[in-house]
Amino acid sequence: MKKDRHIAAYIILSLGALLMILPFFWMILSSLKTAAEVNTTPPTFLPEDPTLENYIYAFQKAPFARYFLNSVLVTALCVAFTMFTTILAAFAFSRLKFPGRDVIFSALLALMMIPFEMLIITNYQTIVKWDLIDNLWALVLPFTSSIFYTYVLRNFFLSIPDSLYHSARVDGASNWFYLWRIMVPISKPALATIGLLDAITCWNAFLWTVLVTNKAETRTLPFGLYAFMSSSGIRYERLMAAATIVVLPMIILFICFRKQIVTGVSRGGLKG
Amino acid sequence: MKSIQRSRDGERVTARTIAEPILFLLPFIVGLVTFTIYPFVNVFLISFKENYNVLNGTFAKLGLKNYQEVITDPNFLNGLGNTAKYALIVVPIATVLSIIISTLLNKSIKLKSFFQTCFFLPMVTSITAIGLVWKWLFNFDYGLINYFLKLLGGNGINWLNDPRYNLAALIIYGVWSMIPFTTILILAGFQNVNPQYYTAARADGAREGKIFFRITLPLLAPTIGLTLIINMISASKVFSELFPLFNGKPGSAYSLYTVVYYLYDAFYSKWKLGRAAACAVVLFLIVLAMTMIQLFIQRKWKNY
Amino acid sequence: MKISIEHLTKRFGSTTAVNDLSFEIESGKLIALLGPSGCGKSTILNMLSGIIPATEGKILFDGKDVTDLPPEKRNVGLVFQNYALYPHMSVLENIAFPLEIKKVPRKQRNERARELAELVKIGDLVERKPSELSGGQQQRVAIARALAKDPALLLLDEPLSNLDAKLRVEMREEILRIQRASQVTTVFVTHDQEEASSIADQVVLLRLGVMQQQDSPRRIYDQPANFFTADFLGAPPINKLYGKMKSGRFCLDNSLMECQLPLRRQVADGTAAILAARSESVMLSEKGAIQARVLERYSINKDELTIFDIDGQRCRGFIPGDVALSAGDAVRLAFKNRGVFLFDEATGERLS
Repeated sequence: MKKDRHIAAYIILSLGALLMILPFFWMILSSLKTAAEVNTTPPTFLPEDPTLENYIYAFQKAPFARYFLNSVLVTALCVAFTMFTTILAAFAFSRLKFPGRDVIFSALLALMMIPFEMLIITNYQTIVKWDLIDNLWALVLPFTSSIFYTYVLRNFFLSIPDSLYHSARVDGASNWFYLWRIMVPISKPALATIGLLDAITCWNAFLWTVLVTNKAETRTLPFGLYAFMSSSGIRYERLMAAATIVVLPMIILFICFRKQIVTGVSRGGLKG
Repeated sequence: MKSIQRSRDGERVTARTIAEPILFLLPFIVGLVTFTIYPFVNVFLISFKENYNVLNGTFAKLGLKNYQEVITDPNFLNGLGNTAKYALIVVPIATVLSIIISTLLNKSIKLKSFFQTCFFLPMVTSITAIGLVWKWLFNFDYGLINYFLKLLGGNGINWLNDPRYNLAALIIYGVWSMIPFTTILILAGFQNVNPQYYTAARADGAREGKIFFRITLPLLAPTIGLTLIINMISASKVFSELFPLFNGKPGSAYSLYTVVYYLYDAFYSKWKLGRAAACAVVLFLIVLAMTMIQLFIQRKWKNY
Repeated sequence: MKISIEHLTKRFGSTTAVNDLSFEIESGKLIALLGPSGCGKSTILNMLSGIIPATEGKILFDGKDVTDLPPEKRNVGLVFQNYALYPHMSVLENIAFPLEIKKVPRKQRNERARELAELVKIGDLVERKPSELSGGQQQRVAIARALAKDPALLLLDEPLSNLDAKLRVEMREEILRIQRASQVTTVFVTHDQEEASSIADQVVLLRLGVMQQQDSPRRIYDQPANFFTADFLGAPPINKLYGKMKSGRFCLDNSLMECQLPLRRQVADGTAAILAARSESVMLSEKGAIQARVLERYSINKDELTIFDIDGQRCRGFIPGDVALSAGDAVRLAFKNRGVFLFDEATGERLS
């Protein structure tokens, strides 16, 4: 009886899992096919004559190398800046004493529900005013302060015993020294989660990129991919190769850091 | 001896204790004020400025004209309707499927991390890139979905070019992309269910089905409620999915506007900033209402 | 370093944690701040270290007023109840941390850390992380770290309460040994009277933020200043017989027992009083003035703790194991001269 139930569970899970990852498989398989093979009925499952031609096309004929570099650059800058502001703010909100600290913090939490889509109008004007259209900084600067990450990190900081702080203070450590020498190393797991979530968000950002970049040189991968589709016509084997280039780094990241990412997401969802 | 300033709770007040919090918060606050608080306030102002000129910032007068235009615009009403349909169909389906998946994943099965990877993977991938893959799957002539439909004896559906099926395509893609996040949250909710309840129920001779409906589901109710709201909020912002599927158009016959697409369109294609701002305020009110419900649920279920 | 505390008071909002406290600690001594939870002992420790500012009063280190000095300028070493070791640093790095802050060159501070590790007998564990150590070893690391900067004052907050019973005895002897070896003035906080009296040179007993008595462990046990002190110290707890004063004598209500102790002052007739007697001061005596009945016996080490009923009140006494007694026996008891005190029931004042 018990065994039967588990067999049913395995069957349902396997079918579900197959449906969930089918698009990824189909993407990769299609990207390895020739133009002729892609447009056949019935479709072939495995490529009959696997080719990397579509990838070569993406990197040589379309500026995907450039897009890739831009994405890496923007993601790295975003994560670095966000981590910096988040660490400092989370420390101030958890350790330092100043009047109105907790009231200010609750007010910030309320701001979390503002949809970003609502802010694009003014932010676009700001970027225009600062003359940053078609500049990679335009993709970084609006995303350097995250209330959500500050909230997550502050809670983690609060879970570190006071005695560590007092001990370091009695020994003469300044707040700055204590933060970087003790708090940050201890908080590595929380910081990793925040960094990963932020990296994923930055890498996949689309709407804002469409607004503030016009030239190919400043596009990141998702917008580059979209532009590739609009400009070079619908050639699915090429599009699938390009999509693989966009998606693959995140798949690798996810497989390596699944636990941290999943904890981060569930923590954020349930308490945020 | 110099006198020492003290705060109410007796802490020493020095230049350092005042300056330090300010300096620590400065980078964060500067970013927040510039790119969240100021634009948030400003969007309300713009929404009331009639005939607002983007270039020189002039406007005719303050009034409700933008709102009037928005709520009488058929495209906006179309967007509102589509967004509501999308949210009301996608969220319940995704939630039910996620409950099933997480219940099974919560059992003591092997290959758990393999299954988790499969089910959670779509969460980290770009909507644009995977949207293109779905566009390919939905392809009328060579798409995998129509191939399977024909295999099962049906006819191929023109998902993306026949306006009647556009929303259906968007919904299928939407359910698929909502499952990972929802499953993660519900799985986390399972961790709050004490396994002793199951042991006790089994000892009392309860059947599996009964246990699920009488114990698991009620105990998961707060998590499910929260998940529903969070997903409703994110579903009401549906937008990016339209770009890969319909080449940046709101459906093949311009009949699949969504609230955010309308906002984007008014702002970026038509340069009607006042109208876009009014639409943004409406979006905010929708989100605000749902957040209120969320807070209400959280407060009500706090005892769990 | 000599420490003087003068009229020290700490208020948190409307509650007074420490009330007008004054005492002195001689240089090089080991002092226990003893009291039940909520007596303000940890607050005093935190005011000595500078973590918590004082509301009123002064703290003097060797005559110098340090009340308003921040913690880092007081040169105190601090050991926390949970040890507060930095989990990401090795034992050596932990011990050397106070020197790292002072920017002592790496080679020098590691040398010093190794010396201290030897002193606290964890010389072979210096490369490990705190999580790989037992509670007792973590405690040793915490003490070594507190000693690293040659503090003028070492403060230990409930240093033994996270250890199991056997380790506790071992570690308290270690603390004494380390303190004697380093000669540093040491104050430790504890709620365990046995811990305090076993190693401290002096015990400061506190209750609700008020000092009850400061004395050597022996004196505080033998000459309690008031009823609280007598009752707080000693295991098993001191026997308490409730009665009244009648012409300078203590009487139980129905006069089954009378007892005369030299009084310190005139006490009015009818004053409610408590006769407190240590269990080891209770003895069988044929001519004893107290009629009692045996309730129960059980053995503790070589003696048998016997529970007597004296006119409805309970009294414990250590009776040699070779005396045959069984429950229900009627006996006569007497008190030895030592360990018997008379207190005013209302004020707790010592009368004898």
